[in-house]
Amino acid sequence: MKMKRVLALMCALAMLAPVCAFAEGETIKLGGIGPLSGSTAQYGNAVREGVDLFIEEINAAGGVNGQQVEILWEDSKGDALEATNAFNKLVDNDGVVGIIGPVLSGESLAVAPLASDAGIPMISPSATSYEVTTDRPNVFRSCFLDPFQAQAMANYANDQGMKKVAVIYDNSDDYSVGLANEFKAQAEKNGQEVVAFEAATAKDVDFRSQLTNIVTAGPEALFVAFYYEPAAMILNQSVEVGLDCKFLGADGIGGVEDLVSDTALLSKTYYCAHFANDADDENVKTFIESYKAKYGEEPKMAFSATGYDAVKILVNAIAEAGSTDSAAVVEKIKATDLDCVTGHITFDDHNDPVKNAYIMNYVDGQPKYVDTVEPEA
Amino acid sequence: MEKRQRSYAINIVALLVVFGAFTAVNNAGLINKYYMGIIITIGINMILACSLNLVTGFLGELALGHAGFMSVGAYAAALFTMRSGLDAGIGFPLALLFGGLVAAVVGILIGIPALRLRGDYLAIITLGFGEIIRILIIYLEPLTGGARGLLDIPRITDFTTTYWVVAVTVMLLYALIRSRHGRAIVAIREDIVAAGASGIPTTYYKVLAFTVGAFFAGVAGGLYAHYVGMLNPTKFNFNYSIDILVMVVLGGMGSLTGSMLSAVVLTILPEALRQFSDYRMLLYSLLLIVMMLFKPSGLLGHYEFSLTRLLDRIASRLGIDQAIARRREKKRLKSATQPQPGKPLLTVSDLGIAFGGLQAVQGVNLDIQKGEIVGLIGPNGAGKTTVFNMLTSVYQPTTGSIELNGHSIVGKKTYETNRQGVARTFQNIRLFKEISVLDNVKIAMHNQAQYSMASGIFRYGKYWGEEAEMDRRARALLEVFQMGDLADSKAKNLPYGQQRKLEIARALASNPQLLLLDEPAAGMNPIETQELMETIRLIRDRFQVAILLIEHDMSLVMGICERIVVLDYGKIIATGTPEEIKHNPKVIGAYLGE
Amino acid sequence: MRFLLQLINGLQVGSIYALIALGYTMVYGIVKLINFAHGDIIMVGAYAVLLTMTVLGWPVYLSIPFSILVCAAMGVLIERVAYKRLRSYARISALITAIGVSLLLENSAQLIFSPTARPFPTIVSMPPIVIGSLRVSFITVLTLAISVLLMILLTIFVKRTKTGKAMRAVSEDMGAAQLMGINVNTTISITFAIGSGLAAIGAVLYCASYPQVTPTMGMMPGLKAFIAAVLGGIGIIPGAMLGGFIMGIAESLTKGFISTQLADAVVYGILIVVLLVKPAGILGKKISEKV
Repeated sequence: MKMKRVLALMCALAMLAPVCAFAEGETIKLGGIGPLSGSTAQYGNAVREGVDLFIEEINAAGGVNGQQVEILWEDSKGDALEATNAFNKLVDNDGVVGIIGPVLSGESLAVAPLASDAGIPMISPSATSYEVTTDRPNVFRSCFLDPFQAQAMANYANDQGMKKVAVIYDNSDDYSVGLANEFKAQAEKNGQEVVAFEAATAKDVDFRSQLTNIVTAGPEALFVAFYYEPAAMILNQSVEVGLDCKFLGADGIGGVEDLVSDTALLSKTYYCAHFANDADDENVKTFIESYKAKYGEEPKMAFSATGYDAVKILVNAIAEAGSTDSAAVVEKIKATDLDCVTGHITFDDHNDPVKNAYIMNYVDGQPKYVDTVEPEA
Repeated sequence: MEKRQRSYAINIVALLVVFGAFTAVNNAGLINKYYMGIIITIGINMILACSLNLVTGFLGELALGHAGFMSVGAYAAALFTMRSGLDAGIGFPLALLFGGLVAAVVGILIGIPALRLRGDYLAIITLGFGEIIRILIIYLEPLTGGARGLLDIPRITDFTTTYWVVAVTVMLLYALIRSRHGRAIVAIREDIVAAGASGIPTTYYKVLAFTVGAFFAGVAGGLYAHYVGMLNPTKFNFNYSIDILVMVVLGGMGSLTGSMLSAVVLTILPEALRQFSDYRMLLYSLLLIVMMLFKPSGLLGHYEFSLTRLLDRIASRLGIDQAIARRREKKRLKSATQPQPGKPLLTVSDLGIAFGGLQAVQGVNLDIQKGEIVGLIGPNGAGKTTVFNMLTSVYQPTTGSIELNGHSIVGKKTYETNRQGVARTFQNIRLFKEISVLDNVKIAMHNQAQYSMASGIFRYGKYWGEEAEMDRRARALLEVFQMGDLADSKAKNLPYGQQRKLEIARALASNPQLLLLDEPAAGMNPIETQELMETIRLIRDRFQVAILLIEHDMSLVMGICERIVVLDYGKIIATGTPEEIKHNPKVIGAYLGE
Repeated sequence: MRFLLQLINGLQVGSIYALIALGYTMVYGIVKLINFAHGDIIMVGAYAVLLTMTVLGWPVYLSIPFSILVCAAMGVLIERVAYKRLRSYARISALITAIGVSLLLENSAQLIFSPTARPFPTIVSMPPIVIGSLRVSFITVLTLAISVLLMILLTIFVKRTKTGKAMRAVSEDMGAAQLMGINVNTTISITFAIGSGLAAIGAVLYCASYPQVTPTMGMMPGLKAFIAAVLGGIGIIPGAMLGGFIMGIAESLTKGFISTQLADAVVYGILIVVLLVKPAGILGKKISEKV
């Protein structure tokens, strides 16, 4: 197992420690940036829980290169300016050697150029916007990108014989717009008919106008490119306007089960996830067990798992590099070939992870693993 | 050295010293990127807070879309830099200017409909405007990058640029406030009706203040865009506008010094208390409520820090009093329409107004000659003040005509009527309470100075001469009322009788040909009334104005009026000399209710 | 057909705006204050119903009256603590305070209940009413009926009862009303209590249609309802109703036939045009300021 190799390496390095650049007993400082308060705090906190869990485990196992790992969290409130200040604080004042985060795409787009200038390794566990890693050799992410999951859902619908599909999306949100366009493109490529393409804004609570238009078009499946809160509204209101079809969603829809009480409605809902809590995989089972032991419940969001993976990749690279030197660590991250909880991860030329996605469906109101989508070779 | 030059010299030296000190510390490597980032953030917040203060503190209108203007400026400036391809040295200042100008244009577009309305609508419209800007930015995707945001903006905002932009912004805003244009803005906050009656075009100045505020918000946006390097339409939301509002409210509504201080405190504090950021908005909301309940004008109120003043004070402590020479430029100021010989000054014929179904005034005919003192009397509710309101264009008559020197004033705005030569006082005193006695008078001289906005802001051309002349004339006018020594007190601190006198002085300051006094003796004791009578005669003789006055005190009316008009139920029931009126049975009937 | 459906959607949204707008109009009509916190009272009402039903297991018929009481008490408390002192101050002070109160409620709720949305329990489960090929949800009909009924009751209350007359007197002239022996403080408190109680009913109907409760849920309906009140003529009870319906229908038709993106822009556009043509709103009367 990879973990054993890491540990063995660490033991070996521990003996070499006095020779190495870093002093005995000093900790390796990493920085975490994400919204820990405010309206997007649930994402930041999900990531933080996964990251903290890994740090606790690695320290219990003796740390890295004979040193304990410490993570310093800075709250970005989901704001680009705050995230910029947080980054500068972590790097200039606290002297961290790597960054986990930021969590949201917007703040990541602001921080990535700074990280790039500083050359410091950065891994975002959840920024799905394509440009974050473009032309930035030291910036990575541990989540798959939106086009991948949108294509996966279009293909899945096609495979299941849903030939007439509709899309509802949030035109004020980059994430949603990206998903919707990609889904539409893939569906058309598959020869499916996109019978309705309706825009809304997530601030709305009333989607009946759009849904009424969609009912008239009569699709077999509706792709809901929303986060779970508005998605729940859409699902509930679809019943009222008499829409009877399957519902498809991306990773943001996970959690919708808390807000929709109609299990029949949920059982018609399929979505794409970074991670399946019930996947038949040793890594996942161990992760779920230790997560439960630390936090008393199963992870609610897949970002806990991508966060866990992000810090695992970073720490592994530090171990393999044998130092915290930025260039060496970045090189090792690039060469990552590691079994993680969200699947086996390697990085492509664009510093995006090449890994699986999972298709989920609800059974009795609980998300259940249905299928694995493998990346194209 | 002249005072003003000395003051400039002191401030410029101070700015250079602070800049030099900062640069030296920075070059010594004592300021890392993190601290520099905070300093730049402080600078951006200072501009935002000061520019919002112009609208909310000085103009007194609640605007909730300041972040919206910032976003317009940010996008405009960023696009300018990215598309123009100019070198940063020339391109960046131009980009900031461009950002400010685009924001200002949007400010005019929003301001004109919103500010025409009285009351609280501006708050709502600006709130909605913030949303609409966001929608538009998303809509204009090819230009703005839509929901994804605008990426790869050159990150060229540095300490030097920020420092000088802040310095220039604050100096310009300060200069604006201390000009006739700034006084007009403050007068609107204090009392919009009185401001109009003193000749201030209120809508114009509201839109102006709003536009200038938007301009600087746009400049701040430009700095922001080039600091963070990316823009996203969701950043500039309602909460961000509230953050800026909190700075203004805390520092002092009407104090640039306060806004700057609170920008410093409210940038550093949340940064230092990052781990408590959950409580930040809670704290801000409590701060807003508590400030309003216990210190509505903010910590510093209207106070402004002045380095020159401080140095003067230190100097006088040390006994190095300096004699300050004042240049006085004599200049004849422009007056209103010219009287036509042989014709009455004011001709009112068949004047009437109805409110809903109620005919408040009907068929009023009235001539007033140059230099005449006429009394308008009648029982309560007879429509006397309504006549005044029509004569000053506060109300528009439904029938009839009003001509001053042969020019109709029907359909004119209040300030236009004032410019034509009608000034008034109010039944319930309407002074600009929070500002000095001297400024109350100067506000009414608004139209006698002509220096432009630019001259006021950049302090060149006519500004100095006209301001000095206004100052001299305002002080002279106060002397007439024996109020010269009160020039620097706040109007609200004057005793009642003095407030009445100040209102008359203010009305005279606009150089009227016809002065309307609405119950000038109300609340005065017999001795004060006696003094007032002498003052009114003195005014007529000295300023050669005609006076129409409403009064219930018959000793005053009979004592000074040459002619009396009696109004009852909106109609004139009698006109004549005091002696004739005294014995007119209709008048006696109206007063005794027969 | 689609037009008719969109029209019904509009009526449903509009009647909720109308119900919330009634509260704004009551308060504004009397103290001339935009009570920015009114939207957040809806949130308080929603949490009151949610918690009593899910945590305490109360039945609906107890939960709703309780929520109305909580909101009414909250309204009175806010007025007494925050607004009362400011009656004689500049308008801007009161406005800023109102924004402060609104933010205070939202952020306290965020700390107490976390920003995550919670599902609202089902209150009425009735099948939709089907007429031919038209499907109208039962909630829509109920919302419409309740808001019209409440408007009528409120109009009668203000016109006919002693307290209602006192309210109108206070609205005309606070000082004079006091001299006529009307207890101004009590009257204003009653106004806030009624307005906030209406918000609680609005909360229940709102959540029956949109069954999610979040700390910031009151912001958008609050703002829209305020615009509805201004549109119809603020301070005028039937005006709130009219404004609500106009807004709801305009929104729904824009979304259904023109563009979702432009729905808010259309709403604001209507507001600006109406205010420019008729500054006092559609049913408002022109009032000249007393000089």
